[in-house]
Amino acid sequence: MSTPDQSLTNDDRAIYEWQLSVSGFGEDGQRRLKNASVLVSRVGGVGGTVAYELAAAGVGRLILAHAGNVRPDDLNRQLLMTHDWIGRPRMDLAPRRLRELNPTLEVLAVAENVSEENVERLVCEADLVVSCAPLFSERLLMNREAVRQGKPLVDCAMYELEGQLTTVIPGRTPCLACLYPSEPRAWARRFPVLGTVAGTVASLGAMEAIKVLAGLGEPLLGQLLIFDLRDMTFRKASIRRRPDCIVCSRC
Amino acid sequence: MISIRVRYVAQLKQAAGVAVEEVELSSSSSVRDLLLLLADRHGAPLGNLLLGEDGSPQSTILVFVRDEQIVPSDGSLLKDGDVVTLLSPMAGG
Ligand SMILES: [Zn+2]
Repeated sequence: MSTPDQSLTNDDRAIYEWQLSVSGFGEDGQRRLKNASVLVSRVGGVGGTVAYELAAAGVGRLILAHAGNVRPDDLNRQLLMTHDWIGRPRMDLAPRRLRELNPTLEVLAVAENVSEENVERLVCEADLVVSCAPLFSERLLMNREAVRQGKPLVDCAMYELEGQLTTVIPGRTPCLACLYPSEPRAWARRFPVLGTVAGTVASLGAMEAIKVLAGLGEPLLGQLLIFDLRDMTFRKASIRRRPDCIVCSRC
Repeated sequence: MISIRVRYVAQLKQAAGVAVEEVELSSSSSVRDLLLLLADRHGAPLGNLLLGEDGSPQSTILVFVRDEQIVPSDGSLLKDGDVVTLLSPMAGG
């Protein structure tokens, strides 16, 4: 964001050849990704794959926030993590795994979960936020700060074989607090899920981030995508801004 | 009478034990009337997810009629053949 605009090198053109011919993307879209910083929190089942997809697409810089060590029960869905790293810090492994794929990627790895104390600083580092935390408190914090700083936020979430996502553009679309004015109490930290569902919602979320950054296609603005992989139903429902939203009503 | 198709999403689906159900309601019923009927018919745990302790619709449940979000407190009326989607918030990441 504060770095000067970098143009594409011949190495970039060689690596991204297959996507440079995507209609509406091209060299301009690739250059926009290269100059973009994206905050992904956390890098579990959804966020880890979001980060991997963004690294593959050529996003220049990722800010990752996730505390703690790899656990055995992470490995059905956290594809950035590996079996040999069980018991060791996720944030020591994630940047290395991402740079194996994309050595030019810049990673700011923060071994903390998003909190009141760090959220302003973390969002400040990014042009766009992809929200993948397993708790509403963290999601609502990122939403509040992204709206305050006027930065787009992609919220992607899953449960069992289902997923949902929407893209927030502060001042233009409903924000997460329009949907959930108070923290939903029925949500439990541990939920049933297959790793393929995490991968699906992550790829969709990364696609939204790329679209917003590159000005490609039509992001899910004012729309909630709801899908159920049990019967492969995908639906888009329109969502509303709350005139009295405590977060975005003054945007 | 009007007939409504209800679709449950996420935790609500698990609590209801079905993904979809058909419901008959008297004409000029609101979404709130529908939620009260469903809570009464199913009891716990679905009832507790749909309604707060004071019996009013939970503000965190998202309600869509024909894929348009509505707010139950608006009192908007249902029409015969409406499809109502009830979504309990997900935060799995
Ligand atoms: Zn809002």
